[in-house]
Amino acid sequence: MHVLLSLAGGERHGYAILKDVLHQTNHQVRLGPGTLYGTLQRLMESGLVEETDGPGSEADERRRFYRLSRAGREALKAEVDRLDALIRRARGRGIVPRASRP
Amino acid sequence: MRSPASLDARCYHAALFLCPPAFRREFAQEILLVFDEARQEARLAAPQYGLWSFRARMAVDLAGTIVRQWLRTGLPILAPLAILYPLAASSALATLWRRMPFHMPRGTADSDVLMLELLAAVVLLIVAATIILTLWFTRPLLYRHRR
Repeated sequence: MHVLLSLAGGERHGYAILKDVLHQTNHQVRLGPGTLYGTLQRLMESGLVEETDGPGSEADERRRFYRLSRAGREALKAEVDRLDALIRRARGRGIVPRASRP
Repeated sequence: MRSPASLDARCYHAALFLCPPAFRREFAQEILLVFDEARQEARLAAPQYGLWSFRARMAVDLAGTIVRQWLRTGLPILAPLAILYPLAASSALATLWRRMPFHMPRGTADSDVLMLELLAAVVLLIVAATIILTLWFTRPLLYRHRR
């Protein structure tokens, strides 16, 4: 989910994904390279992420760039919708996140 | 010119050989690149404490990756088979031993012949196992050349 969300911002290489996930989660999720590439491998096998050629001449030849596929974008949207519905239900039952409390 | 790899990177590179070959071929180079960048950052953030915490995190991450990747290959199913095979073979041998239609040689010369036969059987078994395992583990390479 974090990796998909990171790639929703455009194509990225592995290290950029790691940094983005770290910022997204306020330094709570710190992926290691092994975990990251295992996840990318699974996402590519499921057709949610695809490899790209990268941004051309600026790119380091050793780097590989990844982006969301159409199916990946749809899967991410479905997951966000699911979480959104869950949060609305929770709020409806009086469970308010700490950050939203006055 | 590329700067020589750090000792950490070399150790990490060596440990990556514990991952399944297909995963290693696909991602090892990039994993090492990310490792190098993350190490540089940890070193700049806190030269001593940062590096040790970084090493611990990388070790845990790699250990988890190795286990997960091997589980994904489905090969660990061979482990119970590898235990079952010698158990079955030894019980079959024990049964045969009891029902043997001939007597064990008592003379030294006969014993030597028997030992030689056993030795030859073990050598043949090792050769056969080497051939089978080599063919098994070079399969991805063969497929890759064919593509």
